[in-house]
Amino acid sequence: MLHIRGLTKAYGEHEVLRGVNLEAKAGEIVGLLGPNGAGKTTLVSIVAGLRRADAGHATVAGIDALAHPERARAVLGLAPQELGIYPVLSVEQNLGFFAELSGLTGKKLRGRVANVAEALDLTELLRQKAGTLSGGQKRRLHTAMALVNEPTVLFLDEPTVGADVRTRNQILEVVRQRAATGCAIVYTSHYLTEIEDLGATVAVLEAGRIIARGPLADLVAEHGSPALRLTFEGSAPALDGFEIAGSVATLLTPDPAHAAAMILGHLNGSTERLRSVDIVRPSLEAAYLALTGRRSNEDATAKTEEVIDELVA
Amino acid sequence: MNWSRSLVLMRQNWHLLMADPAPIVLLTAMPLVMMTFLQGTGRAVLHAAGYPDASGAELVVPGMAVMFSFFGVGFIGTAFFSEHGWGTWDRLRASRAGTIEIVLGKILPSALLMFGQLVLLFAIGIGVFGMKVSGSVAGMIVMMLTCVVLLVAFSMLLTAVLKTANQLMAVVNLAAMVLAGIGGALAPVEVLPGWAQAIAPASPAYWMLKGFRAVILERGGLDATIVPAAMTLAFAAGMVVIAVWRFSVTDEKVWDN
Repeated sequence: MLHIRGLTKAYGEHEVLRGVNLEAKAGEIVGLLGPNGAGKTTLVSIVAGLRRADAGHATVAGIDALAHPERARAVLGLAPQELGIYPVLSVEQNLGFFAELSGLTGKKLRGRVANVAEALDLTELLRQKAGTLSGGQKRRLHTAMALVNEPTVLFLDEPTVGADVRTRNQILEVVRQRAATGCAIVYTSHYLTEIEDLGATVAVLEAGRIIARGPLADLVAEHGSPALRLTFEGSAPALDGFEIAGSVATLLTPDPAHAAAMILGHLNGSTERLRSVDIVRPSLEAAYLALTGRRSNEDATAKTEEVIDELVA
Repeated sequence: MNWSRSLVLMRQNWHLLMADPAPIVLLTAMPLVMMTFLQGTGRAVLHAAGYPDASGAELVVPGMAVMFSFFGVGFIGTAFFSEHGWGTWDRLRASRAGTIEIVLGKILPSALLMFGQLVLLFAIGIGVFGMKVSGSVAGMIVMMLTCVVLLVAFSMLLTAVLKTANQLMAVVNLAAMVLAGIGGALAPVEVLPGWAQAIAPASPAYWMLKGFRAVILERGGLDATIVPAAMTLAFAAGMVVIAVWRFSVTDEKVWDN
């Protein structure tokens, strides 16, 4: 449904995208992750026809999105990162406008507006001016406007930024429903639990390149390091190999249970202040941090072995 | 180019314009107030210039209409800048609407509004202030349409080159006063200082007012509007060329500073 090959983009001397390859099948949700400045928004903007690529190819539902952006836009939906609604118009006018632009008229248009409004709990608000909505309601309207043309490829660029729990859950549910109808969805977010909740496949973009791509479980298994976390009353003591953050000491290790058994007997005077021992399972967050270079599995393994050896000796 | 989509965009922009009609009402009411204050002066000037039957409205109505139509240039610029402020510009560009459809959708409702403003001001000028059109009514309409073309072109130019809404409003206000003032909107060019008379033809407002004066005061026919209309359109063409050269859909515009 979505095929991106060798996409490059530079702003002056600064290369933002350096040969990005990405595919999304019908019904697939791709969690596009990456630190700020990695190029996520630029990638989405290029495929949506908002910016020109320097080189590469992108097809959307078989349409060359770079050569014929106007045709590609007919099957695309985009909710940009920045909230985009007409505050002086009603919710119904906002939705109706984008439905009309997609070519809908009459009963079909009204039906589509009603469906999208219902899916995002906006039905009661249809007559209300968008500018008077709460933050969460505005965010739901913003997302609804991207769905009203029933796109076959949908880009949601950080759709839950600033959203409350209810709004977040509603948006995630709608994303799952859209995927179930065969829509390919590229979902960028810094909230990694959302990617896990959506059961999305993952693409990690860093410094303009996709550095990891695959099913979430595979990525976590390959890159997600488990950890041992000790919480103390007051400041955590300085423990070799542990990262200390306030009252919490964390050790990245492939075998946290074994590490716990070895370390707990060697806390000396700090044992009385120990309040909890947690074994942190491998997660997308751990995998993401490892992939984006802040930590690595190899480092963690070596460090743990070193610490345990010291303690045993 | 899809006309039904363009119509959707025009209707949308009409709704956006009408969502806050205060500026439109103000730009129609203000010239009427000014006409009331200035009509006596206009009468004296015209009597002294050899038009003993003139009511004064023949001078102040086109003058105020042209000056305040320049203030209306802000409508089109605002239509673009506000899309950036609301975050809807990229969303609009990611829709099926093409760039030309979006631009036309923004321009035409405002152009209609500007034409309506001119028609209303001249109608009130005739009905309330006693302005007499001694020449061709068709010439009047030609000049009004020409004015709208010039104002649209000026709007496009400012939208293309300016970055912030504050810059837009500052330039619009300054341009309205300077261009219309030099062009003879506040007083006939003949009574302006020598240096102002020398540069007056460099203002499009000069040609706009020259055309109106020909058909209102000087019994001119449609042919009397050819040169003024052509000169006004030449200014408009130059502005459009620069606007097209400088306009980029990817330019960031700032709505609130």
